[in-house]
Amino acid sequence: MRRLTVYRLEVPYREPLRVEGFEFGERQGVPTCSIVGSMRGDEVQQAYACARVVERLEHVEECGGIRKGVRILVIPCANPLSMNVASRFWPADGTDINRRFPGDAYGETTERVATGIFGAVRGSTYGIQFASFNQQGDFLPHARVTRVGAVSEESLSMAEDFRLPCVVSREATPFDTGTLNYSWQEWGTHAFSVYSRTTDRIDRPSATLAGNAVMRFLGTRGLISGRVSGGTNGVRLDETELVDVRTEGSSGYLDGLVKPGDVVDKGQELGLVLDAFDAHVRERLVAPVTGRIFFCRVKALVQQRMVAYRIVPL
Amino acid sequence: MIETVFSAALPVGERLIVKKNRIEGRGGRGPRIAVVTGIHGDGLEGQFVAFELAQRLRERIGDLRGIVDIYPALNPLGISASEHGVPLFDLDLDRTFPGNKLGNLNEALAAAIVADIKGANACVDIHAPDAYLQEVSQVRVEERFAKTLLPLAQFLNTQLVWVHGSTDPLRSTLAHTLNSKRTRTLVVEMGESLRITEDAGSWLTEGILRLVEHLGGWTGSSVALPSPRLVRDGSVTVVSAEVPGFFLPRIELGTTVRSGQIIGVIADPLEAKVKAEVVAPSEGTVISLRAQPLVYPGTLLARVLGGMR
Repeated sequence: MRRLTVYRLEVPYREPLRVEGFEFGERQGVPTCSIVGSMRGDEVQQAYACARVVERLEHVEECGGIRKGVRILVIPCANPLSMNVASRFWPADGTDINRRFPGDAYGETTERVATGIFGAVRGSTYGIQFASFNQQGDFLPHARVTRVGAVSEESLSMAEDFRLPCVVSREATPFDTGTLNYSWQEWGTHAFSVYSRTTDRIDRPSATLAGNAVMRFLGTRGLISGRVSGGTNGVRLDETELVDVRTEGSSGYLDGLVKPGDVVDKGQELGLVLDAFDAHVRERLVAPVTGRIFFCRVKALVQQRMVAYRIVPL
Repeated sequence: MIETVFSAALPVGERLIVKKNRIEGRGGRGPRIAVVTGIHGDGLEGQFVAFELAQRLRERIGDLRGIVDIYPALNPLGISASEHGVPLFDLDLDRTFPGNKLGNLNEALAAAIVADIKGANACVDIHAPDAYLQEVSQVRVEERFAKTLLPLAQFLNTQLVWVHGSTDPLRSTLAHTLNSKRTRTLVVEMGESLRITEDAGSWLTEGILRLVEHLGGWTGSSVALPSPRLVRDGSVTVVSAEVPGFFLPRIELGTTVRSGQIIGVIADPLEAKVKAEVVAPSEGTVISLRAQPLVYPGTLLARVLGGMR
């Protein structure tokens, strides 16, 4: 394992921003696989899961398990500057590095950071990002492929090699064009977002599950040696097939009764919306289909028209 | 008449309500014009225009034909918190259009706004700059809509009309959505974040009256400024910080500078040193200037429009 500085930026009154990478296998050339952990300041789980992958690859390399000709680059935390002040976005201007790819070396600050990161991971055969979502809640661990072009179709088949409970595809929107995942695919990389359960707190079981999935993927794709085992035969579906359960006419406290991964029957109660002043039940959120819970909102307060649960129909 | 455009329950004893002020003229039938602002909670320049325009119209309601709908606060939660986006969401409201009436609160809000404005004869969407800049008043026109918008943009009394290229994220804006639905929408940028620049606001108010007049809806008085300069992307040079520190400008917004003239310095207060002198890359007029002193490498400090005197 070699530790290298992928990008460095001088900042006012603090130590420079240093984006650190960990290199395994070959020392030269474009990475066979690049793995990125947190990109935003609150992605603690993503950084943690990725750090655990570094730890495991270190062991694999010590045992001679990195295949000849393979170079793996891992960037556990692409934005320590924001993590150290617990700011989801760039603290000085609120911009999101993961909306700035492929970046610009002469552009605005976060475009420079993005281009520094992308310069290290561009052209990788495989790109894996431990991602978080803008919906605040817990997820069923899954792999996600955003459809950008022809490369995405092949990626979707490959995503099954993670052997996570779910492989979700989705159409790219204009909002996606600045993401690392999108830029990777523009450069022909098979790009995957791996979601574990949480974002701003560590959930050890799902971080381990996500890390196992990445190691399984590397093994199945022939980048590392060793027996590939575990995981599940996941469900493959398009994001539009997920069934949303939302607060319709009420708001208040969400009293959740289920968690990601639970199998629920049609008509089963998933949560209660309680009045904020008298705790009376204002709405019962029930499963419109039989399925597995994919997403649960975990924040205590809910507004009207808010997605509280998403279900993978079975 | 104050009307509700959108309403939804917030968690604790309150509703999110987006309202508009519908002003119906007594001068007979005429166009419907929408004036919207406050889509970003830190862009307050449009507040003055909403206030001033409604007053002008009420004073001379007999000179108005048709309807002017004024939406002063598309993002009331953001305004109340001085936040750019919608509090509780990571997303910028102006990146969620066209929205989805069956979606979450943000998406449903966006869909309701579009449904309410769609079909107007023209819409003026007033913004203040983000990124901690001051900007001269300008109409921003996406290249693909230039043919239909440029004939209207000249009336708004701004200093510039900037025709810019189209980028994918712009497809999620209110202006792009409305223009795609053939509701001609002009984006105005001016002033400074979290500030009100009354002079520019007064001129824009007069400009909106000129626009309404051009569309056959206003027979009262209005004041015209000289025609705005038409700008395209290639004629503007960006000046960025290359070192971190604190930017101390040495010129004011709108100054005409020579090539090589010092625009400002970047200071290091710890070591009491000037870390960099920031110079104009070309002759021209400074149309954007950094307002917040803290800078990182890459922070936009100024835009210089070449050849303007």
